[in-house]
Amino acid sequence: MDISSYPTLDVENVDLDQDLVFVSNQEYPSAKSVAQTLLSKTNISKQPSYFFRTVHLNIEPRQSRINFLTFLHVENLLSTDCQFICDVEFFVNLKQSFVSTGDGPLYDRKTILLPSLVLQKNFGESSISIQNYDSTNIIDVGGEYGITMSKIHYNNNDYNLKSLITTTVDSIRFDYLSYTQNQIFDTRINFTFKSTY
Amino acid sequence: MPTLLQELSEPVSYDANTSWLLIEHDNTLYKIKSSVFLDTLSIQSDYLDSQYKTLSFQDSSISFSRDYLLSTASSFVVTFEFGEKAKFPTATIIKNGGDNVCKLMTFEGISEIAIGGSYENVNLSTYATQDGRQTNIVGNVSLTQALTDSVGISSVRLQNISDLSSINSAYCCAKIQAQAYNA
Repeated sequence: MDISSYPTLDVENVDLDQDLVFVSNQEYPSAKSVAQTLLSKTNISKQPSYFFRTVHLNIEPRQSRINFLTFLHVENLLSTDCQFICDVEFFVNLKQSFVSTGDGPLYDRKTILLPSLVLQKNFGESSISIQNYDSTNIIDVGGEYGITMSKIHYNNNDYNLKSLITTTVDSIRFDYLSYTQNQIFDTRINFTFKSTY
Repeated sequence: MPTLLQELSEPVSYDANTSWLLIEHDNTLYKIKSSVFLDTLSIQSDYLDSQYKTLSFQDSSISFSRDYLLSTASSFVVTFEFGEKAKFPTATIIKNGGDNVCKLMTFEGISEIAIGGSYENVNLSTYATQDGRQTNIVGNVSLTQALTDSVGISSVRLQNISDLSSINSAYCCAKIQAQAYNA
């Protein structure tokens, strides 16, 4: 079907409720729709969707064998046609016995925020960018990777907050959330996802 | 109209930059570049705004208003960042297209707020010190449907949890990003 000789139509003259639209890739129509349906479908599908997840690590030290995890399953979340950004915040309530005057500002504060984590994926890509407090790493969708999410510094030591990320085309899972050296800080981890498909 | 065209299925996806739309208008078949069609008729409703407010023990309020902001087809995220000399926990409200309920996430977890309703005396943020002083930032979260919809927090104030306050003032930096169909 050669469409080169077809007349063009001003968009303003399209009757959205009545006119039938055929989608043509190159020369051959491959699909049809009422104009309004096509428009609505396009706009709605391009609207971002928002998701929250939260997990609270609050058990005592040396009882950390429980697997703290959080899990998000959204259809096509990590497909190549989807983009998303996930901001992760870490709120810690420090026990006074954990800190000393040598920890400087930490000594006064009970509520502290740790460095944030950002995960993002762009349209057309099958890899995820993960930015923590000091580096950016790229991981492939479908794999399993250990990452450092954030860190806390006290008593002249750094304690990394770790996680094992597992992804499929529809899900992202944060497993084995824990601090290095089996340390536990009362930590609320809030995930805010914005995805567009 | 050729039978072949009538039997076509609806598109799952297509590239608007390379596709043509054939439009049957007044019994004539016309063509329009897909990207032109979408750019012209796409909903011009992206809404970005921000507000900054200083908070004290007196009531204050922050809200964002926009037509159709709370309509079924709208979606948005509102973040309320709090702090003083340091950053405090953030409160975030989200709504997705097709939903008639919003979700609020704070340092205490996640809760739901129905559109048209309000959720009173919410602990939005907090700041505590090792010597036992704790002050929360509290407020009423409301999602108001009217001629112009609005989402916001009212009666926002510092509230001492301990006898002595940990802070005497704070700031709130609020941001909204919304997409409202037919707005």
